[in-house]
Amino acid sequence: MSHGKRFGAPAALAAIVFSVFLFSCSDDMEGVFYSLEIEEKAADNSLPNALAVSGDIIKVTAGGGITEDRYYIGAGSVFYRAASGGAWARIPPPFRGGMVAGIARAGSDIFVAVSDGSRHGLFKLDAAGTAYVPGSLYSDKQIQRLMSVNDTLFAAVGSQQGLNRDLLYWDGAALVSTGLSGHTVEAGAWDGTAYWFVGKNVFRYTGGPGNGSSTPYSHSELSGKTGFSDIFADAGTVYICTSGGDILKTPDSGVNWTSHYYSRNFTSIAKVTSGGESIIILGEDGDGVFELTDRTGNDVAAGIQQPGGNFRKLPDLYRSTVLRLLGDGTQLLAGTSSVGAWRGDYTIPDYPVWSQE
Amino acid sequence: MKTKPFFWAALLLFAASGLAAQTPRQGSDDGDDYRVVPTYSLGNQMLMINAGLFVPLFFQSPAGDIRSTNLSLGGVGSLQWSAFLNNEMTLGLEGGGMFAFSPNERNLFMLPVTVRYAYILRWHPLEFPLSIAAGFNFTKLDSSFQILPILKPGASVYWNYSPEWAFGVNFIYWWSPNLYTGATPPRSQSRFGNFLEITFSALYHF
Repeated sequence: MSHGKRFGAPAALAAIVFSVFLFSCSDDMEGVFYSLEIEEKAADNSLPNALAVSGDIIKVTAGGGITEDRYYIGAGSVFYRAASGGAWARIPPPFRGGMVAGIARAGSDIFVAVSDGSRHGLFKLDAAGTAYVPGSLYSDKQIQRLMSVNDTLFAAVGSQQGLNRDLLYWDGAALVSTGLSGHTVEAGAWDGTAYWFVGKNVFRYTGGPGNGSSTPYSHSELSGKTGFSDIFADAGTVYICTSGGDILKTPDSGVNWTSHYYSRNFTSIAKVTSGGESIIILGEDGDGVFELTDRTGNDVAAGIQQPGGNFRKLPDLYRSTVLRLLGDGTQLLAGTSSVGAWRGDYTIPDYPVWSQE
Repeated sequence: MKTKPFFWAALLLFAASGLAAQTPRQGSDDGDDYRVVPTYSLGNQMLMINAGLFVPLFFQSPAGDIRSTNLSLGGVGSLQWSAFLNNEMTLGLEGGGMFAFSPNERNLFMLPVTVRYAYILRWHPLEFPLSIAAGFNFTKLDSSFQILPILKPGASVYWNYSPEWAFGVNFIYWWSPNLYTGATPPRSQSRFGNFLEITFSALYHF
């Protein structure tokens, strides 16, 4: 046997195996080396970068003792900064180990739900919005979600095990029942006609905030859909998303609906406006955010896309789970589950500039 | 820029071929000039431990464009076992790993497992192995994990401290294709990774 033949078979085998692995099999959206090549250092404000923003993002306009428009973020503690920019300040919790479950403004008051697992309560910030007013306003049940709908404070309460659920509202002196109980409530909105609340089901009612009912809203377009994760009202048009991938829209308070299914886990909805375009943004579990491609009619069936600009150059952002969104003109704040909050500046709608708060 | 690695490889081979022309002096019994020049044969083996710097060089697209890796200077280490086929050639296995950081502190880990062939040029007490290794490169970046092919040509310089022990430095080029043919990720994101390993070695013959 010649020397060449002796090494022929192993060499051929090695060549075959090498060829099989030459072309990478991947479930990733992006090439490994490519993602490194395009990565750029994220601009970073002073908010800690490893925060879970599980307690809402709100904008508070100047008024009363608050001298400037501000953003407030519930991420363990309450953090705030001027909407025009600047560093974030932290408000220590009202009791040791307290974590923010929700933050909302109703009237001139900023309410914060705080819990440490065993203790929990509803607190209010002082007139300047920089410290807690001592004393809990409510502590019967744990507040799971806090929201401001039609300038009224609503609190979804229940045990940690998900029992004894109620939706309460602030009547000016205390949290009282809306009449909606026994259901999870994740978010709420007011479309100018009706109150809407979503959770496992959708609820709609008119009249005062206390006119709720535990009977879910029903419509053929909502049939078979569940896990409603957020609702957003934009001048009478209501958008709802689900963790299963549905986006629904009604322009007339529930008379007509359109919906579309995308294979995504949507978590939240917001809107930014810039250059005559209104861009509906959806938070997503694992891929950051998506935009509705239709920026004039906001047709939910027209498709979704990831933002342009430097979005795809920031892996911490585009691989994040976005829990909360706040749209404020050309600015978008996105609160994530583990990499803090990010700001998208949509001054140029097709080229938003993203930075880490 | 495209020919850079091949230029350096050719330069190393040229330098080494000059050394190969040298005839090592053999041991003799006539007084102070006596030196033992170890020789190896089939069955002799060696173990090597390497540690040093990992220098990210560049990514290259299939079209030939050269781009920055955006990676920091990293660290690399490996263990290697080789068997002598004769006095000049060894064949062995090598396993190791590297780490480096992206601009946003993402960690890139690559763990190549390769088969390594080396041809050793000697100028006692120095050795100049020229090697080529091929195998699989277990690559992890954040939650992304892929198995890529890898080729590692290299050149080394070892000083034989004793017939058993040698110490030296390695310059190993890492060439690892990260190619795609499907829709996601698209073909346009294919890249050839080009890196340089500069390591110090301790080598034990047995």
